[in-house]
Amino acid sequence: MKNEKKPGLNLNFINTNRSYFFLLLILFCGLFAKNFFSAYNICAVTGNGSLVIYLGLGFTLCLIAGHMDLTVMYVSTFASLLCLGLRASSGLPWAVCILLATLSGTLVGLVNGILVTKFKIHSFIATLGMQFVVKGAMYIYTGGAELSIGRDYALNEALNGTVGPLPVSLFFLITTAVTFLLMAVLRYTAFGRNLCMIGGSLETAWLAGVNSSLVTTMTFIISSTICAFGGALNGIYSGSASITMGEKGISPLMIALTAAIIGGTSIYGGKGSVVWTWVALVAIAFLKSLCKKTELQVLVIAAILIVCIFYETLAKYHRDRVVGTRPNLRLEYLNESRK
Amino acid sequence: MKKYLALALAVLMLLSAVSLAGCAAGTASSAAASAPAASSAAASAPAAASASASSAAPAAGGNLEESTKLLADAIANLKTTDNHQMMADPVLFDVPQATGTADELAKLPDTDSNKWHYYEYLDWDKSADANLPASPADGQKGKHIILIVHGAHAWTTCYTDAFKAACDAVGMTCDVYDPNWDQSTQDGYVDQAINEHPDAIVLIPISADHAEQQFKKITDAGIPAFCSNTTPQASAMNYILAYTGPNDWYQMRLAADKLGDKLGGKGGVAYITHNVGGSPYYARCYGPMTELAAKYPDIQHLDVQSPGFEASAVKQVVSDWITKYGDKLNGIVLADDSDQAIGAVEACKAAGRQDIVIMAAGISKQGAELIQSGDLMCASYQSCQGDAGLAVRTVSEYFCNQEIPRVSYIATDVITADNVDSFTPCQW
Repeated sequence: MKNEKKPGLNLNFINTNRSYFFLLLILFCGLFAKNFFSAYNICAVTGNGSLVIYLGLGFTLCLIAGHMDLTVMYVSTFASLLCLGLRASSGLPWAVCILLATLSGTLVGLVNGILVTKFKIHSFIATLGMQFVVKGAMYIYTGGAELSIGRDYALNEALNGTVGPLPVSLFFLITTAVTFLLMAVLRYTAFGRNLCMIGGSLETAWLAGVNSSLVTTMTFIISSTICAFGGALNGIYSGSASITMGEKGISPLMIALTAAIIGGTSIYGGKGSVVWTWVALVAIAFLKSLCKKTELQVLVIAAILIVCIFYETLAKYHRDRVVGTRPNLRLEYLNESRK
Repeated sequence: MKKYLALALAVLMLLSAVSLAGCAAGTASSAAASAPAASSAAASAPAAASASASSAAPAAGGNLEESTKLLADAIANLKTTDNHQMMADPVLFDVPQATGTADELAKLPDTDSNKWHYYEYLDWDKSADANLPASPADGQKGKHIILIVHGAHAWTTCYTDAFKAACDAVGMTCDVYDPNWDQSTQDGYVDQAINEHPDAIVLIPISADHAEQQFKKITDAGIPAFCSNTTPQASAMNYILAYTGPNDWYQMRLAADKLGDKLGGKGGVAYITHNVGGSPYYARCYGPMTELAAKYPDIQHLDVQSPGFEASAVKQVVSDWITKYGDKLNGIVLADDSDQAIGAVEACKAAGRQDIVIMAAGISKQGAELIQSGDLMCASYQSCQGDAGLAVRTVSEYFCNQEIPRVSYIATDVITADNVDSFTPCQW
C-alpha cells in the first residue's frame, strides 16, 4: 500500500497561529475602509490600544501560571493617577513619577502573590478582593476627581509622536519592546520554563524541584509591575486619568482576557505566549477602528471568543478522554504491517 | 471533531470578514458620496482640512447664498417635539470678575459660589488661543461633520436624532460616534474622526478635565472643533471655536429658588449628583447648593451622594437618608428627572415621607409625569433638541462666515405643575 499524504488544510497550524490569522483578516478588511492604512490611523490605533496590551501581558503571564489576576486594570489606573498626581502635587521629574507609580504595582503584585501562595486563597478570590482595595485607595487618593497633565505637554507629545519613519507612536514602540522582552524571559530563562511547568502540572513541577510559591509570587509581581508601568505611561500619553476607567463601555480587563484566549493561551494554564496576546490585541485595536459602532465591535469580538473557548474546551475533553490509551493503535498496526 | 470546529472557526472568520468588509465599504462609500472634497484629501489631517476648504472655493458664492437661505428657513421652521423653536437665538451671559486664582478659590467652602467660578463660567485666557481654523466662507451645504457624543442614553438618542434632522435641514451630512461613556473609547473616536478628515467635529466631552487634550488634537489637525452640551474646563476654550449648550448653573439656580420658597427658607436638603467629573456634576449639585446658601442661609446641606442613574441605587440612598436624618430631611435635589427621580420618589413613598420636596434637572417623559402627579415639585427646562439645534446653527453660521459667539446657551425655564403642559409632549 502506498502511503500518500493527502493535501489539505493543516488545522492544527491554523489553530496555533489563530491570532496571526485574526490580525491578517482585520488588515485585509481594512483595505475596504477609508483611510484605514493612513499613517495617522495606524499611529492612533496602536497608541490607543497600548494600555490594553500591558493588561493583556499581565493577564497572560498569570494565566500561563494557572492563575487569574483581576487587579491588572485597577493597578494600571492607580498607577496613572499616582503618576499624574505626583507630578502635579510635587513637581517631581516624570521618570521618578513613573518609577514610583510602577513600584505601587509591584507592591500590589507582592500582596497578591502572598495571598495566593502563603494564605492559599484562590487567585480569583484574592485578586478580586485586592481589586476593591486598590479601588478604595484610588478614591482616597483622588477624592473621586480626575487628574490631568495640565499643560505639561512635552512628554505627552513625545509619547504620541512617531519615531523616525515608522508610523507608530513611541508609546506603542515601548509597549512592543516590553512584550518581546517578556517573551525572551519566558522562552530563555529558567523562570519562564518553571512558569509554564507550574501552570501545566503543579505536581510535575514539585517533582522537578521547582519552588512553585516563589515562581507564582514572582509572576504576580511581574504582572502587576508591567500593568502599573503601562498605566503610568498611558496617563501621560492620554493626558488624564480617572478612577472610573474601564467601568463603562467595554472593560479593558475583559478585552485583555479575551485577547489572551484568542491568542491561544490556555485557560487551564501551562500554555501561552505573550506575543500571541500582543498580536490579538493589535488585531482588536484595528477591529475597533474598522467597526465604528461599539455594539458591532463587541459582537465580533464576543463571537470569536466563544468559538475559541468552545474549541479549547472540546480539545481538552478529547485529550482527557484518550489519556492512558493508545489512540493511534490502528496507525501503529498499519505502520508495522508495512514493514 | 476538531477539524469540524476549526472549519467552523474559519467559516465564522470568513463571514466576519465579509460583513466587516461590507460595513467598511459602506461607510467609505457613504462618506465619499457626502463629502467629495474630503475624500480627495491627502494623508495628513491639516493638509486635508485646507484641501477641503480650497476645493470648495470655486463654487463658494452660489453655495454660500443657498446655504444662508437654507439656514434661515431651518431657524424659522424647525420645531421641537414640544413645539418650541429648535434653532432659536442663543442666550448670552456676562462673565463676572473672578475673586482669585483657581487655587485660591478652591480653598473656599462648597457653599460659596465664588469657589465654582471657573467651573461655572468659561473664563479663559483668550491671549493663549490656538490658531483656530478660519471659516472657508463657502456655506454649510454639502459639508460633512462628525458628532462624537458621550454615551448611550434616551437623552443622547433624542439629541442625535435632532442633530441629524437639523443637519439635513441645512444641507449638511453627519456621522455619529457613540463611545458608550468610556473615556478611552471617546479618545479613540476623536482620532478616528480626525482620520476621516471631516469639515468639522462636534464633541460632547465625557470629562471636563480631559476635554482640553481632545480639542487640542482636533485643532492641531486643522479641523474646526465645536463643543456641545457639557461644559469643558475653561482652558479647553483655547482650542474650541465655539461652545453651545445649556447654562446648567443658571437653570438649576432658578429651580433652587423655587425649592427654597417651597421650604420656607428652612430645613435640610440633600443632593444626588450627576456622574463625577463632568460639568453637570458640579452645576447640578453646587449650583443649587450655593444659591440656597446665599438666599436661604437657614437651610442645612445634609449630604451629597453619587449613586449613578439606577433607580434602585438612588432609592437605597434616599431610604438611608430618611433613616439617618428623619425629619431633618425636607428637600432633595436630583441631577436627573428620570431614573433618579423615580428612585427618590419611590423611597419617599415607601417611607411615607411625601412631604419631602424634590427638584430635578430635566425634562424627560418620566419627569413630566412626576410633576403632573405632584411627586416632583419642579424641574429645569433643558431642551435636548434645542441643544442639538443650536450646535448645528452655530456650525452652519461658521461655514457661512457669520460672526459666532464663542460661548452661547440655549433658552431655559423652570417647569412646575402650573406650566408643564406647555412642555409636553416631552422630547425624550
